[in-house]
Amino acid sequence: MKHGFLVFFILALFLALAGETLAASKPPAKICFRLDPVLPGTSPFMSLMVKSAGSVKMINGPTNIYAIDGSVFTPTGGPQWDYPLSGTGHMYKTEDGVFHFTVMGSTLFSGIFYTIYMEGYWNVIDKNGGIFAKSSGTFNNTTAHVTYVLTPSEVSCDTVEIP
Amino acid sequence: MKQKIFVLIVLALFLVPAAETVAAPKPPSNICLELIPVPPSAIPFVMSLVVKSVGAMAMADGPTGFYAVNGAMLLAGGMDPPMFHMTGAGHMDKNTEGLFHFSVVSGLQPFSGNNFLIIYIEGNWNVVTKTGNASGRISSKEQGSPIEDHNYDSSVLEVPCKNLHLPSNTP
Repeated sequence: MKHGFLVFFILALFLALAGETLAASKPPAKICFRLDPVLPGTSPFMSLMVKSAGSVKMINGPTNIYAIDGSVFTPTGGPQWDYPLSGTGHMYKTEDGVFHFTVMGSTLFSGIFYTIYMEGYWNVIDKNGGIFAKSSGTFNNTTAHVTYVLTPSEVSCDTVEIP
Repeated sequence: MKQKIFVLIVLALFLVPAAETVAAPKPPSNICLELIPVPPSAIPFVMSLVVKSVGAMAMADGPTGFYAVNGAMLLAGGMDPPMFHMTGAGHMDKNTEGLFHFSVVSGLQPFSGNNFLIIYIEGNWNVVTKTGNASGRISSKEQGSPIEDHNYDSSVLEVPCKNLHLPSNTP
């Protein structure tokens, strides 16, 4: 009987640990951020849908790859941006809880066509991260490139609508 | 008896073309390619691409299978980690059997400054003959320098996905 309890206890311990590892090593299916700062007075939102695309073996070992689709949009009152994003992310098995991602999008805004690249990371455990963004806009056959460092803060995807 | 033979012949007539259609080559779910640049002094890459069917569309040449491509590339040159994401799409060419035609974009913007590297690659990989090529454009900017754009051409060599390594032709 005691043996039975011991085996059960060890099994439960293993399962709990495995459960924690599994839970920590996956990004959520939806991640929603507010991005600060981009333009004075404007903090756009970014909603990302994350789907597993498979696993590849990289030099740091097996790595989960995720397909990302989403969008960037701004609250009312400021410049109205609303454009789709697509990208890819990964989680290293050696770097628990850190989701790295790159997303790209493009938009026609005030008569100027912009391409936007963002590379970022989000620690799904500590709930912090960073995003580096580059925006290129072409006007009068001249392209201007602007880079931003953005601080994402997680917001509920259920209430991501304009605050 | 005659009726049975007739039914069998009709069934066989249906099944043979169906089998031929089914046997049309598809891209593997994971393709790992090493890009051998031309000229060889350019940056070599190794790409590991996850390929997933997203459906078929009727294009000018008929129904065409489309695929989402996500993955990562390893870049020679001592970056740590030497890995970029890749995002793109691909389709099976209707005119050349087994030819998987894909286009991917990869970007990296290090947090150390306003420098960045964006790589566009268009490639062909024949899953039957195991041959291919890739070309693209690399846009890069280093701190304090203007943006530089370089064209990129390479031949393509399949490498095993289970033992991915940095490019063997690392300068």
